[in-house]
Amino acid sequence: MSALKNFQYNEDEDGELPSLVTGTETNLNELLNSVKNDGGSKLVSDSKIERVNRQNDIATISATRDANNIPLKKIPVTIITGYLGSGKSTLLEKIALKGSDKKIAVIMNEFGDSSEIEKAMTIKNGSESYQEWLDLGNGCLCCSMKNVGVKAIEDMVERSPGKIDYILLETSGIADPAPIAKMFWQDEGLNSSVYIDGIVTVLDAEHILKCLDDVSPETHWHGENDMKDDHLTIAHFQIALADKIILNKIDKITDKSKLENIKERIGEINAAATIVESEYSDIPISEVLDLHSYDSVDLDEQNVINSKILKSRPTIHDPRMSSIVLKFRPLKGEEEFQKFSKEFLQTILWKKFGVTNNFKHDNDDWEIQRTKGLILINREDGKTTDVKVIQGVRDTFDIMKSEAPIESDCCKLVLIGKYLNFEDINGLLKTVIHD
Amino acid sequence: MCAAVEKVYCAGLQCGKETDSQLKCPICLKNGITSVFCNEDCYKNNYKAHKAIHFKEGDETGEETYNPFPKFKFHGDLRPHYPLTPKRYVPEGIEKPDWAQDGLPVDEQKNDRTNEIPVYTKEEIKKIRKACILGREVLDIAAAAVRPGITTDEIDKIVHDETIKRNSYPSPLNYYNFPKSVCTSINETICHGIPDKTVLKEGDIVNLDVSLYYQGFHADLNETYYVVGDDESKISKEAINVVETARECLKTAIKHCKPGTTFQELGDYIEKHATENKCSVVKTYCGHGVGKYFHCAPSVPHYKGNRAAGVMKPGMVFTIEPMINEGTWKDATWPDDWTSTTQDGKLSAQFEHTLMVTEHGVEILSARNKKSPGGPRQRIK
Repeated sequence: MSALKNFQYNEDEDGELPSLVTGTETNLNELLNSVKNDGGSKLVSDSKIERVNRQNDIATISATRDANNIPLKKIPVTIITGYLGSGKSTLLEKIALKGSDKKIAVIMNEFGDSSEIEKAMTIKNGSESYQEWLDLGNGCLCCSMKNVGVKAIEDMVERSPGKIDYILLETSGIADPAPIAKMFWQDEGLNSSVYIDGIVTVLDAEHILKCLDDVSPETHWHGENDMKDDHLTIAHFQIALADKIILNKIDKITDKSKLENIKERIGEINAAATIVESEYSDIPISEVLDLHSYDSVDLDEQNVINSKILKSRPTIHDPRMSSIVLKFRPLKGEEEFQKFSKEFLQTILWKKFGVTNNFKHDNDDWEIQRTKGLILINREDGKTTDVKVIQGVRDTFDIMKSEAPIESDCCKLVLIGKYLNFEDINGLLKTVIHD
Repeated sequence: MCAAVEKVYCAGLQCGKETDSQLKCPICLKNGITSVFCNEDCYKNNYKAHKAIHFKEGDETGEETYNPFPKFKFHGDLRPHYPLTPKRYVPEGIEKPDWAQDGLPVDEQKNDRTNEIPVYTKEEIKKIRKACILGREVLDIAAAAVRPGITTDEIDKIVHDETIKRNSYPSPLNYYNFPKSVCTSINETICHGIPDKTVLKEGDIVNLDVSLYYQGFHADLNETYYVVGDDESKISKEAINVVETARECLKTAIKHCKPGTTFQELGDYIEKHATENKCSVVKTYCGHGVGKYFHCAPSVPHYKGNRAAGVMKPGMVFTIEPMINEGTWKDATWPDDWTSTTQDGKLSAQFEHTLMVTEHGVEILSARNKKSPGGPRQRIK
């Protein structure tokens, strides 16, 4: 969401502002003679010009890099979400204090709640802490591929090469993480100096179940600011988009079965995220770094934490947001892969983006939030098998070559979304890939 | 006939409310310009934007131009020439989009969260088609005025007057507080150039990006023109190559539009053609859905390998508007936060149409007609 630019008068730059006149003053001439034209002086502040000029420095740096064929060092970004009170901020404070051999920039400001156009962000690294001014330009996102906030972070990274190895970004407690994930998950063409490593969602174990059931707009949707349907809470979205879940404050849960119950409920929503238990937001720093959630998949039976539950449970407790897991045989060659992409993936992910076919789903409000998958393609030569990774956030998805070696004898796809019906979606898959 | 009484609106770009205030900016009044503000607060809150119309110290004619960002390191030779002229008036009877008053496109922002590509009904398409015909008329009239010696502000006046003459609102005016009614992008400017007192000179290339709002629907189209005087040889072969490549890129992309085509593949066709002609494709800005909203889904990036969502379906309306550069594809923005130029200061050209997907192909709603100024030129070896 973008806002308007600040055009506020600034005494230091604009000098004393003359009083407005009605034009009927008896001493009008005298009044007008006393004011001076001020065009051209400090239309924007010097500090703003300085910041914009740094674009040039970045341009020079990147042009030199391009000329010498030096690849851009991309900095990973982990996005930390969670309600106010979940322990999210404490977790970041502790990580910053612990320090690491990596130079970690912790961006503590609420991101995704952008009512401001220009703001400072705090970067903490060990005991060091400094402010970096983010120049968010004007709010106009019209026909722009780059979010201004992301651009500001990229600029910061590029003008201080070697100073930052990793970025942890805290979002506003009420932010839907999907749009933020999309902003940072840019295609290769955009040549970004940062990339999304994953989303970590911090949950307050004591209150999370109550949160999930509480749909009153006052507590979760902050009144009219949010346009989601009434039946889901922001917690559903934060869990759905998570690559890792920090279940915090478990010291408050004395009953072991209650804890299992909480984990089961979270696992039904998101079957692909690992859950880490913690007390007082105290976790090893490695739990939130280098997740590689957008360039590889880890859908190992052990890691798909709730595959057991998914198989054994009779019904899902919460159909509003849940995971479904599809397993199917390797695809036969390029042609079947193209068919799978067009007739299955596009159908389920581009529902409101022009896809026309006869697919019927029992609840019309269904929508996929997150897609993770592993696709095997047996090549025509009968010998080689290509392994591809599918990643998706809502309507945006990509199929890429797997970077890490993956052992699997079948294709696996985890879909996390609203009102998903396994039978219907699996039925569609069967029409595309015949046994 | 009695003169129509113009209502008075606060000159604060972020206020814009109708006001019976008599309070005027004395600096403007001194120079014969009436800028009414509701009160001192409106004056202060909008001062940085308002100041752009103030004359240079010591100048009382407004003819002496100045560079408002003297400390900015420009990427090419082009400079802004302030002061801007005051915000132009749009008559009462004309239907205005919500940003006309204070700059914020509230409906558009709400729609952005729906995450879907609108498909228009026959009735709606009739209106969009009409808006596009009007948009084409306005662009053609403005283009006919392009010549060495004219300022971009004079072109803005033509676009504004011709737009309101057609009972339409110039969509860019006050959109996120954009101060003018058209975007005029000269030479290294990629897009979003602000009309000011810059004089076009022989051999320049200039893009005019016209958008208008007619009876609830927007049209959006642009073309790049050669500024030609008596001496044809002033137009460099580089200029011709980048302009013609941009023109062909749009044409090539349109050829592929039909139901079932993905929006993402358009970038592959555009980049291929640009590369074959030794040009690059701007990645920061993209085409977009248009119609009920000035900008909405789909996003239509112009570079290859993008991840844009969606496939074409009859009734969808969108723009394709490739920005093609002579040198690097990378862009930089002036401190006005609008003007986007190439990072290396080399030329950039753009063409845009509003398109509608039909049962079997696509209709160019903003199509040129026989009398449209501009048009292709032969490349020089």
